[in-house]
Amino acid sequence: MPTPGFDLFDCDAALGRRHGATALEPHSKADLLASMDRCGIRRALVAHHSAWFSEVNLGNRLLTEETAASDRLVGCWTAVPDDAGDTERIPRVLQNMLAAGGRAVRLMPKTMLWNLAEWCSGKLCTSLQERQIPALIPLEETSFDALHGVLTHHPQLRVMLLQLSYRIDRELYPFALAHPNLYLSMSPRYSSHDGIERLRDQIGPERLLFGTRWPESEPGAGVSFTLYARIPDSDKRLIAGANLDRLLAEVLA
Amino acid sequence: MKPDAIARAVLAGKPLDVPVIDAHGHIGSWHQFPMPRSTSAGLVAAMDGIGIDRLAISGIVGACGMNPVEGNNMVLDALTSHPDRFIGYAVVTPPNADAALAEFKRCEARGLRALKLHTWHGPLYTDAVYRPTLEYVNARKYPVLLHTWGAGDMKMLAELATTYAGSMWILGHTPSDLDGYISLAARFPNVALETCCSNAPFGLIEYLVAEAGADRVLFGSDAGFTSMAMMIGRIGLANISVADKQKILGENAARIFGLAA
Repeated sequence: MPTPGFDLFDCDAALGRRHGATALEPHSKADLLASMDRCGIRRALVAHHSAWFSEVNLGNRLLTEETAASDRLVGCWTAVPDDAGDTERIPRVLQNMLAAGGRAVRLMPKTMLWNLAEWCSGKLCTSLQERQIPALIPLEETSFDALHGVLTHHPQLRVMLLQLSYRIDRELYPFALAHPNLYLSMSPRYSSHDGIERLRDQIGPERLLFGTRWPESEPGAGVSFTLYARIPDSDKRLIAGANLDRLLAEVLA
Repeated sequence: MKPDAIARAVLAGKPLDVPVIDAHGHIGSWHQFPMPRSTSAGLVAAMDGIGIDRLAISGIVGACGMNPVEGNNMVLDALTSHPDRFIGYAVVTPPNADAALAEFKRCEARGLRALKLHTWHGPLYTDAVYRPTLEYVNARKYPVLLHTWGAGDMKMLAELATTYAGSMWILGHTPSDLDGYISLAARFPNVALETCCSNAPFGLIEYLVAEAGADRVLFGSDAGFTSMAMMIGRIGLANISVADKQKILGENAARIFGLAA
């Protein structure tokens, strides 16, 4: 594996076949590790597409099998509200995840047809907040208004916002300034010119995370976006991996 | 796979040590989102960090706005302040065909040797409003960068490549209709495929090289609008030969723009 000067830890990757993907799109653990090797990425926090394109329990089980005994892949389970009875109770789900080595959860409310409003997601968010388990949410799965509600009700909940667009800075900046426990993935399509430099100047480097959006996006894009940021190396190390390392280490297992 | 010299530079965050020309960039700020560092100095600072020798730019307030003259003036100012770092596209817009040609000639007199057209303005590129300018550009073999977005425009593009065979037609945002534009490049030697896409689709560069050949592919980032830093890694870390990377990063563009690589 290439050894870059920075310890790259990807916050935004997912295994399994993606609905709508071309036949050529990679999907397996071997594919992911090959991409990571080519692009100098040491570790990845990975979810599983089967959780939100097939069935949540199946996806979490497959993810556990794929990440077991791997020192490069950390599991990110998918969580849903538990009242409808299709999963175990949230505390048990989280307990199982932590026992399997998982350290974060994906929330996919739009695709999986639930609601981030407090009446629907409140218990789930409370459990995540209590254990300091980061919640990863692609922006296309929600809205700033919905997230504002979540972070107002659960101000200590650590939310990682994935798959931002380069066109949303007029909303993103005030939102990030208003919510200190919001973390931002620098994966495509957040391809804003000097995007890392400008965000770092406004909100600091501690809340920015290297990400690739594998397998939809070419991981080299996220790598070069982070490594060519014109910021001090100490800040670059935080973004490349140290911030994510810290967040996962602070999970209360 | 052992990384080549280009990949090693990317992984170290160091400037590339090969000629690099970015064929698709913009200067200025825009109405839909802020572009505060898309000034000549801001763009050059980013180029220096990556090792991009030259960036081909158009003024965003003309290319995707109502002010082509002001946008073109930004390009002309950038060429004055940094003559060795920028290549300028002149932008012409509807509704007046004669005024469009006059605006191109004004920019040409100050050194611009390329044209940029964008669908944002409405008319097809084959519309009469562009015809005098395209005839003028074609006669001088100037390249034309087209915003393309996979909107069933194949017939129009084929007509342009045939009618104006003296110009090189650079198709911006090739991923928007990948196989369509690759087939167009196969039919017309004066069509080049430019790579920028904010989604950074997985495997795109390898696919373009395999299907169209590295000689037909140009590195473009949509700089200013989006990030050179993000787009460079797609090529620098691609699973292709270092010779093909060098073609895409700079050699092909140098040939098209008439520059020493």
